Amino acid sequence: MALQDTGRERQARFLRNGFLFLFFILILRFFQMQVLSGSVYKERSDQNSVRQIPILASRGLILDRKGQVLVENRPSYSLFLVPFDFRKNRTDAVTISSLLGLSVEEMETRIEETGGGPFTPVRIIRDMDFETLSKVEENRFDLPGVFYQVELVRTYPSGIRATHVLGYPGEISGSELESLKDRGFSRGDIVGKSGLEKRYDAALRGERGYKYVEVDVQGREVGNFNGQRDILPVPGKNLTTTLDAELQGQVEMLMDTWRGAAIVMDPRNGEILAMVSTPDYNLEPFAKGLTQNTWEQLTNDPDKPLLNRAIQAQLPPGSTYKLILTIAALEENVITPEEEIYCGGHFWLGDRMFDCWQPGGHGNVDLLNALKESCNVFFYNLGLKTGIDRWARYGRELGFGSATEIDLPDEKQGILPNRRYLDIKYSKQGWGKGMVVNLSVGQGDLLVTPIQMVRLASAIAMEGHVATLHVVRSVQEPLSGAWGENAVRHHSLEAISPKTYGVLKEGMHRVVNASGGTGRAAQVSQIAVCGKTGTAQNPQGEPHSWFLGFAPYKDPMVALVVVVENGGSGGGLAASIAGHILRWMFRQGVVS
Amino acid sequence: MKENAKAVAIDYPILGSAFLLILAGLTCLYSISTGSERSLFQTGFGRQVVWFFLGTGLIVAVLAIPLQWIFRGVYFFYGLSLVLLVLVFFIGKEKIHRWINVGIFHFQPSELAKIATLLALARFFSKEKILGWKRLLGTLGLVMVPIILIIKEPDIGTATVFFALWVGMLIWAGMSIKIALWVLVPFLAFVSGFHPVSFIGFMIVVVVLFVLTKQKWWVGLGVGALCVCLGRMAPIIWSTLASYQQQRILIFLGMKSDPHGAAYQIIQSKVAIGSGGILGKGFLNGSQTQLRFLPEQHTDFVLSVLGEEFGFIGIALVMSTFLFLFSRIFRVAKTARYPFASFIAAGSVSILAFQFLVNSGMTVGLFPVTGLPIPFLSYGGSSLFMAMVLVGLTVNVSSHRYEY
Repeated sequence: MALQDTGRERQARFLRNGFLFLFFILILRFFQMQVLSGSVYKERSDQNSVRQIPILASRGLILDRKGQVLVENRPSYSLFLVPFDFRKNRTDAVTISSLLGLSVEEMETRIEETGGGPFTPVRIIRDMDFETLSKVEENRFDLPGVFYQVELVRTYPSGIRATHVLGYPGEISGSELESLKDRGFSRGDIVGKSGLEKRYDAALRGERGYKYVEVDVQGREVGNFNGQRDILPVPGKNLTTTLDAELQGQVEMLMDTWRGAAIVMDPRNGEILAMVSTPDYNLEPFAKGLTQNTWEQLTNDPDKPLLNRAIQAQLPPGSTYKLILTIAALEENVITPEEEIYCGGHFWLGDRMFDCWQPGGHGNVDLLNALKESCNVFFYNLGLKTGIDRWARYGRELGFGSATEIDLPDEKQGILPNRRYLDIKYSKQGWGKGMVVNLSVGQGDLLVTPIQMVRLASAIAMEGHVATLHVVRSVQEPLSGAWGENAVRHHSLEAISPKTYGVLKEGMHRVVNASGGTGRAAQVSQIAVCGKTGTAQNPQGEPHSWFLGFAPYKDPMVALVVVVENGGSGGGLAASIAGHILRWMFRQGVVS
Repeated sequence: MKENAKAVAIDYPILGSAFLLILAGLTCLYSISTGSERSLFQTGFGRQVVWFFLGTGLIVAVLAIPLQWIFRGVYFFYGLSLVLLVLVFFIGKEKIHRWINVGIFHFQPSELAKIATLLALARFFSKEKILGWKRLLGTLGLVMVPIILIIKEPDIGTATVFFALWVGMLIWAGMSIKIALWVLVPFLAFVSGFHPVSFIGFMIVVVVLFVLTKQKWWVGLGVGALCVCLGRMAPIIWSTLASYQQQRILIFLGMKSDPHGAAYQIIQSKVAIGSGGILGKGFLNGSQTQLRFLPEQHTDFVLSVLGEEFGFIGIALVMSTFLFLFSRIFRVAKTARYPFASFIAAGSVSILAFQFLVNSGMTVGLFPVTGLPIPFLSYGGSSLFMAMVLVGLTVNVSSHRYEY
């Protein structure tokens, strides 16, 4: 069927007339607006113009498990500057800068950073001190384009630090804005930059409101605009965390002089009771926004205080990882708990010699004693018998080489080498049994994070019933009071039998309680503590000191990990810090 | 094509009016960019000047390519643009996939796809003189692929341009206006499908019209089935829209008051234009423009800067330049003897005129805020290149329009 009319003339005329009709309407509309009603619009534009001023919502609070406030807001004064006015007149700029104690260059940099047009106010100072505020107030009329506004900033009333868990909010950066612009973010917004502030930013932030004010041609406010109703901001939601503020403070005190991490958790439900990474930094000054200077100090510090070591430090685990090899060997029937291996202090692989940490050797040792005394030679042999594939499989099963997916941002995954990884890194011929021997005692290419280690301790404590690790228990609507629980997923590690867990627990009990055990510093009177020490060699110097464990032996209620970078032997420092934590907890009845 | 046929000189009126419009756009951008102490290149104005020079190079290049080469490369070019449209989903920024970042420039493949689809349609339509149902469905397929990809980005505004291009070329292909209206029915069904009541009402009207116009029963059945399908799709597509897009549509339809100040843009645009009066407030003197009351003024609302600073006189001048340009391109479409060439010109004028109408309608509050830029005037490299290449193509076609 032909769909054509005869000839093209009619169609051409139709298209042209259709366009001309719409074009005519448009011209009429412009004529009506500009010529007929021009004076009305002109009046509106000349006298007053509506300006939309955003009102930031107050961020939600962060509470500990008992409802103690860890993070709240306090009012502060922020100073704003309209770049156009600042740049118009050099003498004004100099007056302003001398009054605020900032150089003109510094203020220019701030304006540059914020971006935006010459009439978009730029926040020059957050949390202005009273002295500056009164100076600004006194000289109000000599400071064109300068105004201040009350804004809420973060404050930390509890006395504990929990720096890395809580994190800090700050003004949205240019690059963040670029990627978030389409989700309703705009310049000057405050967003979470790290920790819970970042991870739960969407809940904490609330919704921005708007105030409509009429301003004159100079941009001065002349009053509220009645044509458009103001929109109130919706306050952010509160977070109730699983942290125990008292315990957190205690662990912070114990870790204070060291560089490392400690995590205490409840293995029954995956709740993190305390998470400490040292060295940390003070969150309070972040309310003002950091000066370039302090920021550079923090980023250039060789001790890397910005790093949350609990989830971001990737370290060799040393002997603690013998637990994984034990699991693999028992599950694959490579060894029975009774089988003995002779340790003479050395292990020969061809012409290469590997040492046991005990120069005289351990003599004949079975599995339980090898765990207790952390005999290297025993595990060198066991590693070669088990082989890299089975060793790597059980490591993966227990969560190594992948993130635990705790509700904190930027978690690292560590490295769990397997055959493919080593083939790629060293080529097929480039590695052999020597590599396997090293991995058997948690050295070599293997890297783990403290959070993965505490997850291992909790998996053993609960005999394979693992709950997702989390720091936030619930999110609360501030107005309605409605609670939303954070869903906790439980799952079982089916691949490992109860018998294997029995052997592991017995071995870990002996590490802490039997004579000759490496972790005796972690003992608690009347409580059966189980644990494993690790002394991880590393290229940075002294070995890293590890301890992971749980308590009590039957019905575990707490699992923990302590690592001190370059802290020497695991039995010494880490086990003794863990002992202090556990003794304090059981004495205070934090767990009972 | 015979080489010995008489060639016509370069169509300077088309080129000249396009350049005039670009100059007008640069003037507005300059006005927006003053007061900023950034280096010239970093301002919208500076960058647009660079795009303008590069675009001029593009025009020269397009003029130099023989029409026959373009004809042969059409489907390759179309395929390439589709590949780029798919590619945005993989290398584009999160959530909104509209741009491919090439160093200093965010390239928008949908602009390239406009040209490619135009050329593909032109070749498809030019092959035979008779327009049948098969041909109609073929061209529908050609436009639907980019439309669906662009809706997914999501960028509904740009997707409508393809639809306008298709309808324009269908009519140019000689489809009877009556039948064109019947082809439109399923799409109107789609629009009405956003609400069940409007959908049922629309369908009743369609049935009555069918009976009254005594259509063949199988045509009625086919169109009816298509209507139901598309009508059902509307709620699904609605739910995939970003909330700001839903807001804009609802606010425009008056179904929602203005919770987050989206109507603020339109109010401010109207105040800016209206306050310009007959003569305007003068270059760099627009208080609305200079005080930055208008968001997005360098892209979507550039016309309100023009309206404020140059008044009705300025608007009328720019609009008559547009009218002149469109009528020249239209003349090329009418006089070109080679069908491929004629369709290129017809398609170009469809795209440019549609964007012109929608954007200027938006700035005076007659259309919803769709985010469609106005050709030649709005800031943006991809959009300017698109418009300039279309001009290049038309001028190329124009100089060979008596050849066959």
